[in-house]
Amino acid sequence: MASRTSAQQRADEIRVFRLELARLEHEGALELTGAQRERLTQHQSAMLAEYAASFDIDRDLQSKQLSLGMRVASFLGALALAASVFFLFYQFWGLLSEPLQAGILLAAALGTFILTIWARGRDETGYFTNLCAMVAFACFVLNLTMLGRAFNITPSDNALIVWAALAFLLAYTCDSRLLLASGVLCVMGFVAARVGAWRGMYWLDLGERPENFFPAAMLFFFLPQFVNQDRFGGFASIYRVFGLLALFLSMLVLGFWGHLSYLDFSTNTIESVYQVLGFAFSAAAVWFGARRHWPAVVNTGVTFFVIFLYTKLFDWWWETMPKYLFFLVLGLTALLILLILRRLRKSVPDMTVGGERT
Amino acid sequence: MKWSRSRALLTGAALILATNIVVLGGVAYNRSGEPESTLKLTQRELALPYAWGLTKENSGLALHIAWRVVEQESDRPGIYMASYYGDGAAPYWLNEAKLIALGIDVSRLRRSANDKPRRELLPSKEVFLALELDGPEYQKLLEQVRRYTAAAQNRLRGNPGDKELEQRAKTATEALKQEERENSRLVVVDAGLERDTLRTTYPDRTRYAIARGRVQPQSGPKPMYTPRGRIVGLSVTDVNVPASLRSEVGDARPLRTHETVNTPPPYDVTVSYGRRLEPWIAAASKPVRSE
Repeated sequence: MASRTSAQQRADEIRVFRLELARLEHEGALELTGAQRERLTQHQSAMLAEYAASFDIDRDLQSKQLSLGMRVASFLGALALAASVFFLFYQFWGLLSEPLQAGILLAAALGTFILTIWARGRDETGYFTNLCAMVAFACFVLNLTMLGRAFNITPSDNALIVWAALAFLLAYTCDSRLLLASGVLCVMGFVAARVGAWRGMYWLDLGERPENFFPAAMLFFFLPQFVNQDRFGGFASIYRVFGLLALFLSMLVLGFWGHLSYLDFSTNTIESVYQVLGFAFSAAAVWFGARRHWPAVVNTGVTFFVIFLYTKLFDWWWETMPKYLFFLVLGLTALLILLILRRLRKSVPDMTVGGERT
Repeated sequence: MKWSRSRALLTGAALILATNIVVLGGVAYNRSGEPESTLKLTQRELALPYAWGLTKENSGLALHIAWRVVEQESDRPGIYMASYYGDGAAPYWLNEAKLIALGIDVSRLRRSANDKPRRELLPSKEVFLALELDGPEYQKLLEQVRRYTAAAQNRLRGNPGDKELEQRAKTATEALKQEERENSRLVVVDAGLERDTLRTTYPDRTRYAIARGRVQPQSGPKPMYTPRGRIVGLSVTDVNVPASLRSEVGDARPLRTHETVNTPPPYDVTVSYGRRLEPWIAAASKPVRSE
């Protein structure tokens, strides 16, 4: 078994199988012999014991709920510790000489990184490792940011790429989706800054042309097709969802603020084009995600289709229509979307339960 | 591909160390050899930060570089010709020809004359800026304010008792006093794509600093909307005060608040710009007498 995620998925399937088996036996549809039942039970129990020892999986629903709580605690703990490190340095750095400032920043980044790798070898649950990894990443970001302030260094987009490198390293070493997302965001920022720079823009103005994000959006959406992510649960979803987020958010902005586009048409034309493209791409994401059994892609497509639709309805009718009628139209639109999605679901019978196929 | 822990450890440690070496190596390179320029600034050009928000938690101190530009007199006549960063900042010399020389395509501004949003916004571009300290541009500006103040006082002498003229003369006198004693003498006087060319034009390294900054094209006023540019800002806007020089500049905490905005404590600070045009404070002292 390659990872904790796949072990957990198998354990969940065993639990569901056992429930369904009991139901079938009660309904008289299936009856196992004593030997079969014993062999099955032994096999599944051995498997669950092995997973529990190797990956600390959740064996039942109560454990699952507690694990969710641990994940939340790990995330909040990491945020709080990272903030604490930042403010600790902020409080005292001005009293230190420049060499000491540089030394402490380097020691913090290196020390927390080494601690993370050490914890990885001892922490079966992964929560403590993730906490250390997030603090290590925060320390590295602090490292470069404060060196920039201490020595009055010209801001550069190169910082984004080294931050991304560490984020990806920590994500793949510690199986952390949050750090993967951080790395994806850093790379997106870097690519957008470079695309802008090639057009003569200052890199920090990257947000002033949302089209700068299109190349990175495409890159990350299609990355799992070329680099297999099977051993890392949820990583493929992160790449695809963030790719779609970059694409749809850019289109949403351009649909209302067309003067931010590189295109050399009137503002009204640009806004109309991007609104239509927004609808088309979000519908395409729903269709494509349903065919490939990527529920995260389907959900993202549906969400943005609704956002594009509702913002357009607001644009057309909020001022002119009585408010009760406006909300009635919104409600009826939601019903229509439900009917369409139900029809779509019926036409795709083999949707995978639980995780998605990659 | 899942890496072993030892491989991940070596890679990550190498990344962190290499990044720090590159960054600190860049700092050392910037400060090596003779500085590109060295300016003796005062509290007029290097402003203390306001004590608010997270600044109160910050034991570090960075002085803000207060630069100015001289605008078209038709835009802001009389005593308001010189604006500060964030307040217009469109110098008279950053005209259409200059923008084209800086490689900025202003044709889009003209083509979209009927489309107000497109006309207003084009992204900024990083270029080299020439900063002049207490030079001819500042003297020109000072002379302008003196003439305006003299004219206001003459009008009042010709119409004694006129309340409006009295107020204008008072405002002009205060503006002159502020211009002579408090306002920054650091003026952005030119921009270019080649730093060596700018340095050849402004060879005095004790009066002119070359720094990286950004310019942005924008539409001029009606009816022609003739393109012109504004200075968005310097790439490095603040200069950190080393711990060893804090006692010369001020106390450990920022002193400037809204109540004391017009009376900053005096200090002399020598700022050097290095090979990468990044500044640092080379020396600082309290003046013998306040300016």
